[in-house]
Amino acid sequence: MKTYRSDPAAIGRLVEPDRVHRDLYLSEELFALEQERLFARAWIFVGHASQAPQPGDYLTVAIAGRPLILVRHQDGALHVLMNRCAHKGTMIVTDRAGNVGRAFRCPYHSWAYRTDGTLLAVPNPAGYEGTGMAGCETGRGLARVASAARRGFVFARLADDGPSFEDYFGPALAALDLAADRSPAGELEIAGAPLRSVIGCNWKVYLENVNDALHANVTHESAAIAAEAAWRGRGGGTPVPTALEQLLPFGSGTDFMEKMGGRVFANGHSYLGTSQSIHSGYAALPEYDAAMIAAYGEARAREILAWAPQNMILYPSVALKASPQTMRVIRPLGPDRTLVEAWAFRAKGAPAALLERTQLYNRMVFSPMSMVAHDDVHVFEAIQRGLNASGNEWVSLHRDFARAELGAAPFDSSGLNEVLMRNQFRAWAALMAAPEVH
Amino acid sequence: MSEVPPPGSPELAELVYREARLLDEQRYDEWFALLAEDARYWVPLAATETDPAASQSIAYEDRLLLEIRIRRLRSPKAYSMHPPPASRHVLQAPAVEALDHAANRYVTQTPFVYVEARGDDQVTLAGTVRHELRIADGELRIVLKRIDLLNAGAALPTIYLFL
Repeated sequence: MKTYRSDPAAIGRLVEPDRVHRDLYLSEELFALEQERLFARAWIFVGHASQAPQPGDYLTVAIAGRPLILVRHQDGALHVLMNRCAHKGTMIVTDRAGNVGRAFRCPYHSWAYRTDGTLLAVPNPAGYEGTGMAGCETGRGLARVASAARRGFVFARLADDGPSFEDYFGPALAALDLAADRSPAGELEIAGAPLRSVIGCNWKVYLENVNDALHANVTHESAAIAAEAAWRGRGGGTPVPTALEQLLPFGSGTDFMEKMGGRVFANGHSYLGTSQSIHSGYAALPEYDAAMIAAYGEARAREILAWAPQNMILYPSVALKASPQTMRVIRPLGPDRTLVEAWAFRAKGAPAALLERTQLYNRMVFSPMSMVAHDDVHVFEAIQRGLNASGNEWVSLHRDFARAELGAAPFDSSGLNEVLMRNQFRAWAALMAAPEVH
Repeated sequence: MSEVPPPGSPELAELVYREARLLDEQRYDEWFALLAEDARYWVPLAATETDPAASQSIAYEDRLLLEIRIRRLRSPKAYSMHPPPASRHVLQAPAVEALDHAANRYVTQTPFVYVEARGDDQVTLAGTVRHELRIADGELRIVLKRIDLLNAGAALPTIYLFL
């Protein structure tokens, strides 16, 4: 039987300029190849520096099925290590986060590793004299993975070879600056644990929806109408409570969404909402504005505050908002299972009201109990099942397709242009190419 | 002043059972009527949380948001209601934590199993629900319903209805 592994050109044929084949969402083999290629070659979000402020602080995460540790070394540097004892393969730490002190110690035979991954000690070392242990992979300790950070956001590339962090993200790396600049101190920090949801769909269904402005007033009509009715029942008027300020714009019309504007970058990254978004209309917080002006000066502060895109995607793992200060991290679990984590950031130097906005938004929109996400999840899971239908094996991405967009990046579009999704799939095809034979 | 006698443990337990039953039977108007004006419905991310403003929560809703939630569940455009989910709260006997007539403060703690079925899927969750109650207009009202799931911090499936 022909497989995608044995027929590399077949993968390329799945992504046409204006549509993609359903196998991208359904195939077990392609999912395995994604883990091996795409998620190894791309720079994937690991964690934020604020989660490991002290030496010995660590967190654990799985990327492309590989168990990883993000740990702060004694010298203050952050390292990403494989969470696998060099001896028998035991995961060296199993809590989600903690402090390991000066060294990791395996619970099986007490092999110990420094927080940069190097082997510190083995029990009864005489037993290894004259053996090949020290000279092979085992002797190197916990395997270290390439990592890089910007504004505290730490990313890793699992593959030894691949584009550098700066080359991979290119100008889209500014997304992290645009988010962090929302803090008067220029610094974001993670505020507590994330909301974690498992959704029965392929990760690409989720990620293309992050750039789908057209679905909002259709899929979320029930939430928008319910919010409006409840507010009318209370007499309406102003000021609108924050919850409604956040919910009502989900009912914004197609015209508004079109004018949001979008920008795509090489390698699948994008901004949706370059000129406006459903976050643009939030009331000013005078105390916060004053702190921003004091920190940046009037002109620059206004510029930062005006930047409120719908989402900034750092392909394929991050969907970030500048306002509210929230980030979704997309972790594929299987061809039809995706973990989505919704994190809240505290903008250092900003009043507590700003974090409250973020927490409220995440609860209402990204929680497993979210009355907004319920209809999204319903659609995502219905896509996952619907794609098994016969008669049409393709998913349409035709809207506003133009030859001029091919190879053009950055490329500006309307908020409804499906180039925001086509761009993701073009990156997918490139990252899925067969490894070069040396 | 109301002439109703102050509630004892049986009345508190009865309220807890009734509340769960109203949710399972989707009698949301009657359920909503059990809420005090300043009621909160809270599903924290960890049992150790004491302040909903300190960290994220799975849910933290006042009457306005709860009303929106109920209105949405009834909307013909609530696509997630197809197929319609159904729930069953299985409750252990509530333990009375506070029975303070002078302060008009009554607290129960009730371990539970919650099952939600939708189509061919079924989700089972377990935890403890804490009811903080007071007498208002002669009736026991819910001031806080706090639900601590055993696995609140885990990657959870969609919870379509009310815990």
